[in-house]
Amino acid sequence: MGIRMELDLTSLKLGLRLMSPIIPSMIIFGLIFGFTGGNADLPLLLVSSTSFIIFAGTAQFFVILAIIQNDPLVTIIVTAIIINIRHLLYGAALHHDIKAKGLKKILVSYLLTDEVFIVASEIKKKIRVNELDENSVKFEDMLIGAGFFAWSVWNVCTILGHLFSGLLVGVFTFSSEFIVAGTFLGYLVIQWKDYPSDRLFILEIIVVGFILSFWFRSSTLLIGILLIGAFLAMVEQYRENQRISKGVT
Amino acid sequence: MDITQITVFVPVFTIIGLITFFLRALFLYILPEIMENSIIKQGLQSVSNSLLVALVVPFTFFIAGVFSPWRIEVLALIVVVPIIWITKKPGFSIILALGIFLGLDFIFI
Repeated sequence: MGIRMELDLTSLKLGLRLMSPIIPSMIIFGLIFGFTGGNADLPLLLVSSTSFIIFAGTAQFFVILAIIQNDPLVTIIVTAIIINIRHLLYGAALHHDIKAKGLKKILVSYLLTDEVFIVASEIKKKIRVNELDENSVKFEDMLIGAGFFAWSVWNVCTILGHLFSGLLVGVFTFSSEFIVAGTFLGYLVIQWKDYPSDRLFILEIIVVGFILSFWFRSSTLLIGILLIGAFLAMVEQYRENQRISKGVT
Repeated sequence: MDITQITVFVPVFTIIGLITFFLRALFLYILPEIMENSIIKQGLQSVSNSLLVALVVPFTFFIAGVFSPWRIEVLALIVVVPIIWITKKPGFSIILALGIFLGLDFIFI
């Protein structure tokens, strides 16, 4: 009995295209991940195997850090699971949108990372505003296209980061917390590209993040960025409402 | 690190990989009637909210690279769930929780 899976090429390509703005951020994150393992003298097989077995960037990062710190195996497993619990929410949010069954659904489940969820949100937004015809594309195939692109880039960059870890020592001089936060901010590129009205807000967020990084670290930095970001969003919304009301009257 | 340690860690990665797959697949396959996913959809519909989930949740447990689940910030995250449930305002509740979160960080650390 053979396993067959029909994929729509147009949808795959579209998924790939929607993922492309996030890819530069993934390249940097992947290189840093490979570099972290290589710099700690962990074997290439060990570091790269996390990328194709686990395929969850943040969890992998902390698994590797835990191995470097000689943490117990139980701690490593529990840590990774707690970090990945958020994926339950992604599955719940997409439950009614995934119509595929069989191998295709298994593949979507494996590839459903933060980045693919961002692409999924973008696809749904485009369908909502009629930029994309729901009947002419297949949602699952777009996710598979986006996810496979992300998976390939992530794995290649992990290997490259490890292989060139000796050369990259002078390049990655920031703390890992700032790099992770900065890389995730890179995911706002999609927002930047598709919604010109949000550009000022994104710029403000990046500047705030950079300034705060001189004083704060880790979760405090992230929470600080998000809080100030929320405040700036409200200010932008108020200004937008003012503009609209002036235009109307 | 030698080959023996690799043989120790690869099964660990396989366990983590399988559980991660299970977490991603669970609600894609089965969503209990009792779970109203429109609230989750609303909460995650913008890129910035997705980032919040992707960033804050993992970093809550990792302060300065150390895994520490028994922190007052984790309690703040847990407390926010019933607040969202009662107020029906996810955005306001999250901002409120994050404000408390940051305040606690300044007071206790």
